[in-house]
Amino acid sequence: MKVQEIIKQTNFPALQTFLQQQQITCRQIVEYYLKNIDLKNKQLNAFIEIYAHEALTRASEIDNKITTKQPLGKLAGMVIGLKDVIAYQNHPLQASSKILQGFQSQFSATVVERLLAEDAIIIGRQNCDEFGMGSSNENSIFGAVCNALNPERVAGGSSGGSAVAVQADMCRASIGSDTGGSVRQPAAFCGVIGLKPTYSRISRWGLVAYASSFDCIGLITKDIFDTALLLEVIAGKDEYDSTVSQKPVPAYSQCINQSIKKAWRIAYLQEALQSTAVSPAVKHRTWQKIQQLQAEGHIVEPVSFPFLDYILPTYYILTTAEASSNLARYDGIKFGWRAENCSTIEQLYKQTRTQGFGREVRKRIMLGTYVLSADYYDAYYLKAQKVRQLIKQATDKLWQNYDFLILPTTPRTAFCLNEIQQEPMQMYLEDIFTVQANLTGIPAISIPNGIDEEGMPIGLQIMANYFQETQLLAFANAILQRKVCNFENSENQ
Amino acid sequence: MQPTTALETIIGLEVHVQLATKSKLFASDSTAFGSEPNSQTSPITLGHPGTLPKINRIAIEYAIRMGLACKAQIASFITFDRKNYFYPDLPKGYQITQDKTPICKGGFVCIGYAQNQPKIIPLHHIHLEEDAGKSLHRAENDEYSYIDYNRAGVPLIEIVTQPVLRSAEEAQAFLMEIRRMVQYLGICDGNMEEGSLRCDVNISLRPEGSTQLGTRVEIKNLNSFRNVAKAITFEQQRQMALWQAGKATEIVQETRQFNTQTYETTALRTKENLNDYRYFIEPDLPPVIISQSWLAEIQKQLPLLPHQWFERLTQHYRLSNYDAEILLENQNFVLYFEQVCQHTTCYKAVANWLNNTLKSYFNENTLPIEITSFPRADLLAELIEMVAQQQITQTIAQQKIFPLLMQNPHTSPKKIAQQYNLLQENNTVQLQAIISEVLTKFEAKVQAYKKGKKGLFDFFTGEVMKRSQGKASPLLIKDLLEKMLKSLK
Repeated sequence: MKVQEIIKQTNFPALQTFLQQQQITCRQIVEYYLKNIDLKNKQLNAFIEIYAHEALTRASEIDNKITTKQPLGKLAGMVIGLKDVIAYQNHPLQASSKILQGFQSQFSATVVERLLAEDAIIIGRQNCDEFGMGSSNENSIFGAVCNALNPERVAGGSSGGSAVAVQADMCRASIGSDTGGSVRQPAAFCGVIGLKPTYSRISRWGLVAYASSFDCIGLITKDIFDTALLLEVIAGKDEYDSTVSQKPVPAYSQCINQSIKKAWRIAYLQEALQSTAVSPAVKHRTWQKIQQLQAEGHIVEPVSFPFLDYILPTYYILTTAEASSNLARYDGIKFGWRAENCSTIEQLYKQTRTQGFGREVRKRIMLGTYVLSADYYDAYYLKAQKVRQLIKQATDKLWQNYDFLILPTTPRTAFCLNEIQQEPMQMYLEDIFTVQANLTGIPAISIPNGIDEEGMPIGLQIMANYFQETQLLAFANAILQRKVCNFENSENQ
Repeated sequence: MQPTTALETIIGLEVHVQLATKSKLFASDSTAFGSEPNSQTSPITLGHPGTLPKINRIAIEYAIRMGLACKAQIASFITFDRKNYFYPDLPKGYQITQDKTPICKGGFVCIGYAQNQPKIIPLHHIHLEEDAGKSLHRAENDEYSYIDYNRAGVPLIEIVTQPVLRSAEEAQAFLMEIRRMVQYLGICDGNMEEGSLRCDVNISLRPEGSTQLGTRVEIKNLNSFRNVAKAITFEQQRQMALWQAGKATEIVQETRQFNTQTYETTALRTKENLNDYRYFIEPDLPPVIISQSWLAEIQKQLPLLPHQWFERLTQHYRLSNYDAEILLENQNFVLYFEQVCQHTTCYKAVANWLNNTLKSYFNENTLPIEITSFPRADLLAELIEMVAQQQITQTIAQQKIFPLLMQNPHTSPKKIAQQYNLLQENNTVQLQAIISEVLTKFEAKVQAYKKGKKGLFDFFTGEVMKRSQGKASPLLIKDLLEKMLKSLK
């Protein structure tokens, strides 16, 4: 096999065997991705900075470990891109915002430390919506990211660069972040796998905060084994994050092929499949999957979720409230970008924040400030906190009868660049199916579920109860291992 | 609102106490005072993107100590809230504080007990929060402002009283009691010059007998007992004048600042311009559970408090209120007092020694008052006993032996006295000779004495003492001198 084919076609354990047998080197792997970046990034804009020299040096170091028979990390051969919200010591960290222009992180995120400790190679930082705010990766100081399947289409967001980088073979996996669907939605748009684990499963130390009680580091890959392996490396307790779970981390990668229970109990949202907002192709593919699962003997039943209409308002009130506070530190005083020619402190604040933040971020800061202000606190923030509790309780109830909840990841497939940028409500509706997992904190994964009539990928989202990543990954793996059907006309369902 | 109605002053205090933890409330940076500016500023302190707070449990423990000392109700779990506002010395754009669930509720502090005028000052609550950095403005023509973030994140407790204080003196007494308490509890050095204790004053006036509170004014950031008193006095007079002029309605709810040069307060911002702090729960910190066993542990290690010591000193050791109060000024003196009193029953003498000789010695030599630099307790007791038994005079003990004892803290004062030949001479014959010598030399004075100038007795005593090189017993001198003067008829 040619080097290129080995990298492209083999699963990760096989790739590591090739490495061990010295039929391929880490340097060759890095060179392969660098070449793809070179070829495609100009058009796709997935990476905003490439650490070529550094990645090659590290690759040679790991190759040297192999030739000298030193013990190898679990992730030797894994080439990873970091969304521009993950801190990497002595590297720029900007959240795709002007306001952090020139800022370098003095420390590495816990996830980065853990990846490096297992011999992963970091190849660059990836474009995203500014501070993770957006669903199309069009809100970036570095410009929009394009979908590799059709560069006129969006990548999804906010981890658009991370999804396209995996989609277009510019790295093997990406570390993204998911506050309301920011990993799953672009993964669905790009036809790759996106996992948002349980809230608190992965330390947030080193993740630029958008909405702290929602923010979750997530993974984008092409192979679910990679997802499982990366998760088992980066998850777990961390003294730098007081909110992280102390639960032990299972060896997920060892569990994904475990013989699966005969009959899972699966719920699907009735409303989601009846809504006119969901495109026929997405409906059809989801129906098909439901029928397939039923045919295999699983229990698949419709459930009604009474709070669907409240999910988005609750999400936007609470996330913008937290964001207005989390982003207060970007004031031009201590680090990052500062407006010039200001004569008073108030002017400095106003100019720096008006010019340094993009439109969407400014809008959300204002919204959040508003919902927290004394006169509206009870009507919005407090009310939304209560609704969040109700949504959690209603979701918790599901797990008494079901193992999984399945839904389309998004109502439709990737739309065109600039298509809905001026229609914020429609843009926010992109998150309708993904935010439930963030409001409640449950794990959710998006896996490819065929394509629509225009060849754009459709995502199937599976959610599970808290800390049920093992089951979730095994179930997703079982679905993925079945032959993927070609697109059929939606009338045939 | 008649000008003839007597007015009473209603004062509530918010005292900020910097906790003497080694590291900050949410970061491992040092809290040492006086270091190079911005040398104790990790990414957490500076609020760099991606950083998260991590609670310092020692700070919680210190806050609990204060709560227990005030007999407050300690919360079974605490949460933190964000107080959002923009200021250059506030790195994150919010302060992590406690809005909804303060660590301590209620409780009280007793003041005035040493003056036989005890008054209970009930507390509203005590909460934990982080300090901000410091803005420095240098010369007028300096176009820069400077910020030192070393203080940012240093743990504070804010002690909030009910509005029950009535005067500047009471406010000062309360602050002094708080300072003594936090020092005894070992949770704060109480150093006001370094800003370890700071105070906000809420003050309003109302006609005596009224049950409604008047419009209150807040005076921010007072950093000495004197300034607290001065600010209250000024504000009392300012508001009083407005009441008496029938203009009480002109008193508006506002924040005022105290000018340390003119001793006046001036308006900083009115209520309309008050910040909307947009408090909400800090999502980066989970609730901290305060278990009964943790509380019991802290309670067990609680030292005796100033008012408890006061009782012990006045009841058990029979000291006067005055002596006890002076001794209480420093916990080390109190602890040492008790150590010395294990070896002697001359309690009053011990208190005098500590309050005078020992204190002066440390003041004059500008030494830090630490128990380890005191003489061994049994040796000081031995010295005090020697005076009591007239083996040496008080003067010799204080001026000669004590400095030597300080230099040789493990040497017996008896040995020192012998070595330097300082033991009191009770040789009557020798002393009689000295007395006759003095009486002969000052014959004229003896005559004057005879004629009624009895005050000269002390003069003769002094002369005799001088000639005995301080070694003679004052009692023996008095005895012999009286006899000899009488016989000179």
